[in-house]
Amino acid sequence: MKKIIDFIQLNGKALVLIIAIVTAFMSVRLGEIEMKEDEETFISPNSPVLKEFREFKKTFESNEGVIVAFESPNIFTVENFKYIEKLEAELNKLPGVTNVNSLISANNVNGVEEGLEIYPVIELVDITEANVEKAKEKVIGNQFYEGVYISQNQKVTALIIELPGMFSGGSDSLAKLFYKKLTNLVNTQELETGLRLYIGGDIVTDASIEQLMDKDLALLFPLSLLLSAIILLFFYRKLVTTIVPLVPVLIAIVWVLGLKGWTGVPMTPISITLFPLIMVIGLANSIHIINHYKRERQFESNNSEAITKTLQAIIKPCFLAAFTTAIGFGSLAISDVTGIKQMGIFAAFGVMSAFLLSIIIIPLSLKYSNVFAESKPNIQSRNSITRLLLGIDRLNHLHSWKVMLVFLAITVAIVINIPKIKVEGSMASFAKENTRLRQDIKFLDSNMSGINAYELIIKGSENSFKNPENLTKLDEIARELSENSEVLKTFSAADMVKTINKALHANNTDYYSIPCTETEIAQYLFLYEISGGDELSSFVNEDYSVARVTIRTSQMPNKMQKEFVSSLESLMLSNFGGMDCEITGFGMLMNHINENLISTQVESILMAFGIILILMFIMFGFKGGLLSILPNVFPILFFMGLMGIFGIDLNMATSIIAAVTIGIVVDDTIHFFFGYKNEMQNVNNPAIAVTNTMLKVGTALCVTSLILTLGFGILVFSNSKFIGDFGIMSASAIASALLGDIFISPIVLIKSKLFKK
Amino acid sequence: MKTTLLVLLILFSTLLNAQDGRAIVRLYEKEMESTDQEAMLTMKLISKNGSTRERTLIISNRTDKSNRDASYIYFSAPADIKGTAFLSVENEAGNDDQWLFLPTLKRSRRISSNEKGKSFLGTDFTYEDLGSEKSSGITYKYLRSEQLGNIILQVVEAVYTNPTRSKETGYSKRILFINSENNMLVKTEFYGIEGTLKKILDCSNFEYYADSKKWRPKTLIMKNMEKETQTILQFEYYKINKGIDPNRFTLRNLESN
Repeated sequence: MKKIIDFIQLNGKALVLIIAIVTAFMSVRLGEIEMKEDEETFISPNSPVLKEFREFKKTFESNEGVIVAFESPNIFTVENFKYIEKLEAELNKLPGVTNVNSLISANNVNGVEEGLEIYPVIELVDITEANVEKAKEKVIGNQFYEGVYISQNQKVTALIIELPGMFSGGSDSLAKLFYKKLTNLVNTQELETGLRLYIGGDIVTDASIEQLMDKDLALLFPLSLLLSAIILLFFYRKLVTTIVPLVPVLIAIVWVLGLKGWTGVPMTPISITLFPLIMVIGLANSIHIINHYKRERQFESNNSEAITKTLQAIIKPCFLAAFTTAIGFGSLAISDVTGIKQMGIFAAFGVMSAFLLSIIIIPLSLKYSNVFAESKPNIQSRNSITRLLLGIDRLNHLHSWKVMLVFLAITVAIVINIPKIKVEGSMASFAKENTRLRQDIKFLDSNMSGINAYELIIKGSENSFKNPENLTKLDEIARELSENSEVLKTFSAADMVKTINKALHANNTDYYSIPCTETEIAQYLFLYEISGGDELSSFVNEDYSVARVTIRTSQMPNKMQKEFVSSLESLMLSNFGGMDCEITGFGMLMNHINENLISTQVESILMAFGIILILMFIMFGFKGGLLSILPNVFPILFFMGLMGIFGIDLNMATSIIAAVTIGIVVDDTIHFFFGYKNEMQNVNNPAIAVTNTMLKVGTALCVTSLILTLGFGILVFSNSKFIGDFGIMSASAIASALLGDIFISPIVLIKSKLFKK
Repeated sequence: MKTTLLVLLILFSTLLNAQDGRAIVRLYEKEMESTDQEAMLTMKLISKNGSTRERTLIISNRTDKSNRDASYIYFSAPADIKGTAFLSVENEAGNDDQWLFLPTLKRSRRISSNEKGKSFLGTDFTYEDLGSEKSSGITYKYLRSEQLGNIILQVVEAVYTNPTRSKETGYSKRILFINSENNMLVKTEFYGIEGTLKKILDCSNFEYYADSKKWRPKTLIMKNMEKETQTILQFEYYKINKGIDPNRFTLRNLESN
């Protein structure tokens, strides 16, 4: 330890130079950080689930699609049809768009006496009341229209924009340009017509979230900086003493961002929290060093000696505090959710960088400036905290069992709400309820056939799906699924074959069935294909060896999702047991992400808890280690119970609170137990030792907890619901941890008589 | 005076260029003209992910005395669609009446679809791409000459000046590359209404049919830049102006397959 301190003291200027060089090096790539939010934010590109999903998209040439919808009491009017025509023309002009389909432009396969008609349901040049009525007859009950271009209640119509491969090729700027022009068009149209247009699709969700991320970056960084400055100004009362402690954390943030730039790891929605977190967590190091130095300077006239004594006393606890916090974040590295894994690693790096920079920069500032020694503390606030702590100490001594009982009652009352927590893997919930993105998705989800799709992929041999038996089985799967109330719609090649069969027999409904021979099916599908039907490749592959059944469902709770997937598995097994079958689709991705979020929550907390427990055993022995964990279990159970009570979902951000906060709140316990251990060596009386510890350490615990609670609390101003929930829940965990440390810790120490000789 | 002269000069040169462009295309049209033609070909459809579908077919075309076109297409492979045949006859109104014969139904069915600008038999070609140059609503402009190996290509821009036709076809313009030696089209670039490159057609393996004194490409490759698909037409043979029986282009013939 002495060697480290001497090294810092002797090589201060050289170390500053090295910091400057590293900072300059890191700054080079600051501008190259990308904002990213896509499937890979959640799932590793090597994950079999993502691979299967991408393989499916490739096989069935599943293009990116964007939906634009509007509502009207009666869609089937001349005015609405003319507006759909106008809107479609405008949407067609957007960059990257290859096709727009709507109620009036999608081709309808219709059987007539002498043959087959493949036309839209209305001729654009002839939109009259009578023709609109005829179009309505063709559309109602037509499964290729209902839930796709028209809602079941016939009050909402949708236009579907096709955006082929160019967006999946990584052309991010084109997707952004498309989104910008789309929103401009929507705004103009809404102003012109007074209609409310609803938009949805992956591109819309991603671009909206990236906009929210931009806003958050612009808001949260200055806000956390301002908060930190206010707190520092409150305690130290001078501008210089406010600025200096901020320097190490600001440099640490540059390092983190620089490392992101150099490693090419993008900013994801969750990593937005890095700025305020590193800021408030890192600031604690500077505050501890300065506070200790100020106390030393009251007794030590030699500045250099005071600094050495400060570092001797502070490096170890500060390192332990930073290290446990880094463990909390670092434990997230085991998560299968890519964004969380990256966030954990970079936050851990940031926290340790802030520690390293603080123990170099702050002592150097103290060496060359006397301003910290001269700054007067805010006595009044300190006295009121002391009075409060003494009151709590008295309560702990006189009513220890009652206090414990109250905590137990609170814990039980809150814990019973934990099972109410819902898992929400969808990125759409990143945005707040009142945002346009959320409102639009909710509207489209409830009016059209849902965004939650499962895809059954069945792999046979060449021409397997020209075989009537296999097509009948596809049809049977759809029939069985239609009995499930969660299933909104199913599509497969069987529907197409049945529709053509009926159309070729003058729309006779007796022929809405799978033909008996393979040749008939082959020729019907060929007919469909050469008649301009381009949907076929969406349901069977080129050589008819792989078929797909699309199942659109309503949003289901996690448990129901799992049951649904296992029912799909048994359905596939009973119908296509001899073939290779897979379940993929957006619903499956969500299912996988949800499971990953739960396992992230459980595994990361176990890992962080395990490592911290080992550290506690090393520091306080077996009994002390176990006792030190008790006050830290309370805040974890407390915030999880609050999540259940207030209906806050377990999502990408909230799933990491437990691991992150355990690393942070355990610092206070370490300080309290260390303080108590020191006191016991002097007084060997648990009751007196606890009171003395409360007075010496309690104020610092309250101040750092206040800073951290406010620091996390400002995240509530985020434009994102994710980040807001994360901030408020973390803040509640930290605040409740303080209660654990000033109530539970003293009582367990008194009752256990730990460290008594 | 000087200004007037300059304006006249520009107008004259524009007119000259337009004339040149149209004349070059007219020579190509003349080369492609025939009263009838039969060709056997293999059609290969390549999807975005690289998988292929192949079909073998015989296409017969005929233009009658009233200058109305008729086509008869017979599919001979793969086995499950063998015998499927397609008949398209231009009616008096200038639209195409289309019928399809499916062997499994044992009779023909009339197909009525909005084919303009739509895919031809599920390929990357549209009916417009394969039809003759109907120059109404199109302005041809000679752009430049280009050397390709030993041959000189005349580059002509065909701009769709009629918005209705442009909307129907989905094209704003095409750039035609025509071999100045044999007047054959070597390449065409198709541009969408927004001006983006939609498709590229490459023609190669040209063969001279001495009996009819006509050149024909034996390979056509159409690349769809938007959908990332392509269609390859590989011609086995052409029979040009051999006098195809007009009865081939009748419903009775279609159903007697």
